[in-house]
This record gives sequence, C-alpha cells and structure tokens, in this order.
Amino acid sequence: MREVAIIGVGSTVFGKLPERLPYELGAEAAWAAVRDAGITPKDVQFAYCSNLYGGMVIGQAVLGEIGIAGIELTNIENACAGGATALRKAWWDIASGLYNMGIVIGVESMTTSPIAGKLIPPAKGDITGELGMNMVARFALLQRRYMDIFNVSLEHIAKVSVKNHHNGCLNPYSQYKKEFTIEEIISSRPICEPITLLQCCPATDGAAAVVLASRDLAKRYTNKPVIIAASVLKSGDYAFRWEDITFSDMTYQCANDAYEMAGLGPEDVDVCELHDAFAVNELQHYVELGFCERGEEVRLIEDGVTELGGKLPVNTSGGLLAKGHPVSATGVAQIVELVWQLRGQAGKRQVDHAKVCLAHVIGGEVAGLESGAVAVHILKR
Amino acid sequence: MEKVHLSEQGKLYSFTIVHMPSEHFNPPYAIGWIEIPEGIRIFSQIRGWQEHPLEIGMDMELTIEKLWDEGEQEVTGYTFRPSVRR
Repeated sequence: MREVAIIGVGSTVFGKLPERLPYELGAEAAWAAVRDAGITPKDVQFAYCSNLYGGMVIGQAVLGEIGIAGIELTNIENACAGGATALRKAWWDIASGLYNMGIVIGVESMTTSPIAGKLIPPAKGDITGELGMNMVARFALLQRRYMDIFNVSLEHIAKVSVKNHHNGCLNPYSQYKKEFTIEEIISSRPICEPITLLQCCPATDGAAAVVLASRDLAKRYTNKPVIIAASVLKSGDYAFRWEDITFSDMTYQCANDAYEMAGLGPEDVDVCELHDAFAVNELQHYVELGFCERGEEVRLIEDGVTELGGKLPVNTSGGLLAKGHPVSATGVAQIVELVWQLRGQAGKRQVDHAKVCLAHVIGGEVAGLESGAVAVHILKR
Repeated sequence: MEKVHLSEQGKLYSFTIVHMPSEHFNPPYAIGWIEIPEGIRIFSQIRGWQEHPLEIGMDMELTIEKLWDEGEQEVTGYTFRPSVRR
C-alpha cells in the first residue's frame, strides 16, 4: 500500500446561499483546491463527489465547470458521512496504486433542496418516524439520559456551543460569526427538551474539496504534504446490541481501528474536528475517541482543554454548530480545516505545532441500527 | 421466527417533549424509550405526561389508544403512560 498525501484544499464560505446552485458551489471549492495544489485540470485522473439533495450526476456538473471531464467520476451518498466516504474511496484508489492523483468534492445546498426549511424527514416505512421520532428527538433522548445518569448539567453542554461559536467568529468560512453566552444558549427556543435551538447545528449551503496524490507525486507539488495516516469507515450495528445510548459504539470502534492503522493513539492528536451536530455529541465523542475516560469529558470543556489555547483544541473551525453543516460537504470541510492547521495556515485559529489531526463524522438514521455511517480520518505532517 | 409475549410494564429509559410538528402529531408531544423486563427498549408515544411529570426510571404501562386519523379511519396502536398506583 502506498502513502497518500493531500496537496490541495479549497472551500466556499458556508451559509445560506439560495441564489447559488449546488454545482456552482462545488465548482468554486474544486477550483480553489486545484489552484491550491498547483496542478492543472488535466492532471486529475479520477474524482468522487459527495452529495445528497442536488440531483443526479452532480459531480459531472461540478467538474465540467472547471475543465475536468472524461475521467472516472463517482457520485457518493452516505448521509452526514458522505464527504468522508468519498475521501476514503479516493484514498484507496491511490493507496492501491490504481491512480496517482484525484479530487474529492463534498457539496450540499440545503436552501435549494426539496426539504428546504424543513427537518430531514424520516425514511418512508420508518415506524419510529411515524410515531414522532426525528433527528433532534433522537439526540434529545440521549441527552436527557446522559444528563440524568451521569450528572451532567445543561450549562456543561451549552459550554460546547459557546466554545464552537467563538471559534466560528475566527473563521472567515463560518456560517455564524457571533458569540453566545451559556444563558443565551440555554434560554433559546426549546426544540426537543432539553435541546434548545442554539444547541443544534443549522441548515447550511457550502462545498469543500481536496486534491490527493501519491506521496511520491506529491513531492513535485509541495514540500508540505499532509499524509493520510488512517482512513476508516463503518456502518452502524443493530440497535438491539447497543447497550448504552449515551455511548456510540460505532464511533469508538471506528476510532480504535483508525489509531491502529495510523500507529498512533489519542494522546498524539493535536487538533480534532468532530461531529457536533448537537452540543451534547461533542462531550460524548471526547470519550469515544479516547481523549479521556468516561466521566472526565466535562472537565475537558470546563478546564478549557478543548478550546483554542488548550492542550487539544476541538472544532477549531466552529464545528457543525457554528461553521454550519452542509450535509455531504461536512466530512471534506473538516479535512480542509485540519490541512490548514497542519500547514500553519489557519489564521487566528492556528494551533501551534500541530502535527497530528483527527476528523470524525457520523450520520444517517436507519430504524433498527445505531446510525447509518461513521468515519474517522487521521492526518499527519 | 417465533412469536413471544412481552411484558406490558416497563421503566422509562429516556424521554423528550417535542416542540416541533411531525407528520401525525402536533407539538408539544412526548416520546420515549421504555425498557421492559425482557431487556428490550421500545420506542413509543407517551401519553399522560402533563398530569404525571416524566422521570427516567419511572414505572410505565402499555395502553392501546388512538394514534392519529387517516381519512375517515382512526389508526390505533400502542402508547405508554406513567403507571398510577391505586
């Protein structure tokens, strides 16, 4: 297996952009990544494009805008893990020796999608959805139990949202650039108790892209290649085997496999982008990703360990909560942020001496399973 | 495959009061998971929550009630309610 490097990254600004069509967003991010890599469109041998709501063969429309055509191009859907899934597939296409250079795009326009202004609806035939379940409720059930059984306060959970909104203020690509207090987060509109509006990620439009190359080829283009040290993707296990809803077994197993693949451990991670679709998720993922023992996760947020300036900054981009969550773009956008961190290009969010970074996404509701898909990538320089 | 008869009583594993509309229910409504002695968690609409504030671990019992209307027809199914000691 060959080592694979990321040599170019690009992103649109995230936000509510109803005047822009999905393929235009994708093309802007892809072109930025091509420029950043210092390559020409004809150097790209293959592509994966992740998208959920933009219609068929969107990747062809995206890349057609920037002069990339006549190559192997695959469109991918895997809910919130779609972008990371596309990266995983592209990584393998180079690691295996099939190709030497490719591009990965994640693009989503929620405001022009068929579900604009609505919640992501349950799948047809999903009985729990018929009975009143939705994506927020699912995590509200988790949060209620987590707070009661483990004595976690709403203030602790709100602090995650305070931190990530602060980081969003420092990120020019973020949807929200506004500070909030713990009180404002707790007293915002209740959605599914105890989750209030400002504990939820917003609906977002945006796109992100990365250019990958074999390590040997990467040397021609950059002296700062970022290496993909681990790439792991898993589907959810049956829910009847899921003992404790406050602990994501699939995240835990995915992270363990990623650490093994990278030959690294959680203690080596300098910066992490994780799936904070709801504020409570971030605390739980600290445990599942191995950053602390169970029961210590509240200390990580209370003591500032995971804020900028702390020992392990998490969601320096603003995370899904503030930077926004254009579903299929999120997994790629996390990689863009971490590459900027590893290259020292993260501006006011820069973490000093970042050498190892971890990205985690999880998503997709399926009746009878824990969740749809989870992915963990570890990057190093 | 084998049919088994499950308990109609259980304990409230978790719950939420939903403040957003759904296909069949107007907000606010309550949903939750009820853990029955066989070790299975059942997802359900919860009724009677305004009269009996919900708490994790409380005793719940299954009731058969109207869930929603479909045209002229009522859709009936299971719900859970807090058990009230008489």
